Amino acid sequence: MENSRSKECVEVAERLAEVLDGSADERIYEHIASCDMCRDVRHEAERALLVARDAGGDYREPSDLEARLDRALASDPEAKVTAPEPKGPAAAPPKHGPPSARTIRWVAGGLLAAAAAILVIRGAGTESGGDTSARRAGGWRGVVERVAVASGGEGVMVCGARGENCKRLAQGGEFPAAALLKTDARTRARVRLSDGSIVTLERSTELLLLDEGPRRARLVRGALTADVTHAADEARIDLPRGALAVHGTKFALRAEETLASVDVARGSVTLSDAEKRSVRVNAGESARLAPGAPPFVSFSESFGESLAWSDETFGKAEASAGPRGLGELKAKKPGQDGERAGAAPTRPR
Amino acid sequence: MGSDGSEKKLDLSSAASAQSTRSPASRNPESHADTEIVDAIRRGDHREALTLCARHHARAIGRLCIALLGQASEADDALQDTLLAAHASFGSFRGDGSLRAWLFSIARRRCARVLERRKTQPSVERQAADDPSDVSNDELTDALVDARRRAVAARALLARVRPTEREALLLRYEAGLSYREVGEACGVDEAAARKRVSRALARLREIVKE
Repeated sequence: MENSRSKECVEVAERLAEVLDGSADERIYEHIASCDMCRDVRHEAERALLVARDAGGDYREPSDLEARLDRALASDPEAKVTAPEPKGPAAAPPKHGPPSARTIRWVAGGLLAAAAAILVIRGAGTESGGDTSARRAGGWRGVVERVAVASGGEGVMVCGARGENCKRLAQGGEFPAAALLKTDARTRARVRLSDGSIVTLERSTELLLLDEGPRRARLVRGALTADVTHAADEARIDLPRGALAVHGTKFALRAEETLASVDVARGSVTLSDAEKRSVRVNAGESARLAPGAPPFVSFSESFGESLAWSDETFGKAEASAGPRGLGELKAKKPGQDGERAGAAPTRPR
Repeated sequence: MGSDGSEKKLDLSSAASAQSTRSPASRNPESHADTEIVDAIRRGDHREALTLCARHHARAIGRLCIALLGQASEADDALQDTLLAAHASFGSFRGDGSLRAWLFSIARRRCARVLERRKTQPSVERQAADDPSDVSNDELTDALVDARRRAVAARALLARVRPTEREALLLRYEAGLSYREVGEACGVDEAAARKRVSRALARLREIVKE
């Protein structure tokens, strides 16, 4: 009896998939009903099954799948004659080993196609919402949209590329390509760039707009958040010891002399260090550059906080263009952006 | 230009609504969608067949790829490679087996290659992965964050299951293939496919218990 029971327990373990599917023999289910150990096994297997079903639960199709396939088909003349996959419906054993000549041809074709596509898109000027001609003519330029200055702050400054000839820019002030934007320890600023991208500069930040090509900048120091428009020309932000390639996304970036970090809220970026080691950082992830280590990606637990300062300063609420500090109080009703009428100033406005 | 000589653009606009990895239709190998795809292949309209494959199977293939690879960007690439490879091979597709099994067999091998390459070219360490990419408004939602946490945890557990068994398990329960189709996709018979799935479940059960 005991042996028979044991055999059935083994059979349950070996046929777990069928047990869970409901396709096992009736006698197996009868055994499970009478065997506490097998009931537990089944219960645990059901939990394991739930785990397996979670494994792809966060997948979202790329929004540009259609375009990707179109581009690949349009650019690969061998697509219809190459046959890299099995001839029949049944799967063949996995192929191992070095890439075949056909694979290499595919890759080479893809690279050529990508280059051609970029040229075509640039030529056609298909960007939307941006100043394409300005971008072709040089680097980013733009206008200061908002400035928030605490008491004693100097505001946002625009200088020459080497930090010379600095002058204060008021809200609405324009700055040219190859300019250095600076905020002091009491100033935050939001600027709109010529391609429609929005960049918010944190306090004590220096951002150099490069004239070396379209959509290039260098974060000399400090922090920023950026909502970069998607375009054929990949945006690039150089860092003291690395670079960030931006594929059209929203992110928070911070750079110091030897360290840098990025938190991505939407889309993806590629962070690379001075040794050209790179890592792609997707929405919800953060990445770090630190001396002696390759770029490191992890799940971002705090990307909301990384972006919060800019949203709080220039989000829904209107930021003050003028100094706000001692002697002034303001009040807002929870959930509303406007300053309440009748708030009690401590000095006449 | 597609293999059929057509210049028409792919139209996947209804892809999101048309496909569901959990829907009975997508689980049924004799589904209307697959019949449509096979018909398109037989009449030589490979571009249309690709469009339909993307519309009805992209999401399920992507889910399998991210479950195996753990990185959304790699899953996207594997999905694209799978569809393009299928398009390139439509001419040799005989249609006497399951189309889905055939597509997933391609995806399985693409992912296996990526994983093998990763072992031989350890470039950059990645701890977590997985791009939620775009949900409706392109922003990360609470639901997606939650799904992602669970997915990352699930993948960490699944990584301890033997590769062939893990693939069989995911093809069965993530992609929703029948055991016959799992066997076709893995190049084994149906009985062996059942055994692989059962072993994977038994192993995963032990891991989850720990």
